[in-house]
Amino acid sequence: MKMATMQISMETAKEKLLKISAAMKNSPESDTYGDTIKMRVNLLWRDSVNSPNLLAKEYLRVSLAEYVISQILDWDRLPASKFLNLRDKLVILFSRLQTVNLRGGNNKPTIDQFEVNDIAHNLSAALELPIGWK
Amino acid sequence: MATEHIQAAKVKLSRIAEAMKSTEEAHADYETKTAGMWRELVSAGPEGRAQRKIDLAEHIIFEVFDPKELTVAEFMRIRKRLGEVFEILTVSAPHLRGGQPAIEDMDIPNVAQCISDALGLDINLKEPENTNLQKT
Repeated sequence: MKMATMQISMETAKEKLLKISAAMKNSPESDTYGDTIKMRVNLLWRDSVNSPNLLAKEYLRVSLAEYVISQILDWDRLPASKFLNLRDKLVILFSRLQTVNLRGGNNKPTIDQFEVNDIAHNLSAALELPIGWK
Repeated sequence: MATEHIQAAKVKLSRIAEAMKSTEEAHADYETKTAGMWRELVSAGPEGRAQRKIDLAEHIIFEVFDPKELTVAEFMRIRKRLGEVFEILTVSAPHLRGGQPAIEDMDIPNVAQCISDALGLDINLKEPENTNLQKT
């Protein structure tokens, strides 16, 4: 991703992605109270996981993807074609993270098997951001 | 917008409006992606409606605009306006309207004009072009 389309620095983007990942994972550090980003992400993620309606699930994944992009990239500079491409990649990632692991017998979404750092790493890869996570 | 682009946009908008006005029984010729997406939107339940609106709006936007030329900010504004137009066209008090959405009572140029306005195009689709004016 070109720096010109970023609306924040790489360091801030890294912090935001960690915050978003924590809110998705709903781990103790994702206490959403008083934090708009965490609240919104947590709500969209949770509703998407829990919705029994496939179209509603898809809509919530798309909404979450658009929200994540809006937090990192500059909408006044990003072309719609690139936006659609990044959104697709994020929606696919969310879909994979929400897939229930039936083989494990625990019926928990795949996201439970990842650390917050891993999720953030995957988000930045989908957004094509050159962020180092090691 | 250049004259040739206006003409192309007029044709596309009219076809989109025509497709949206079509029904499976009466106008099988208009069976297009737009028609199918419109029917899916009209028949969607409350939970699926939002996604159907997005699908159709994005389909229409990229029938008219080049996604490489449009910024996300513009794209979002247009998509929102199209969503509002869909709400108007599908509205209803279906129980008072024999189960038909509002679009049933509109003619094709009017539907096309609604879409054109939502897209932010400065095109008049309601009035037929008078090309036969002569000096007296």
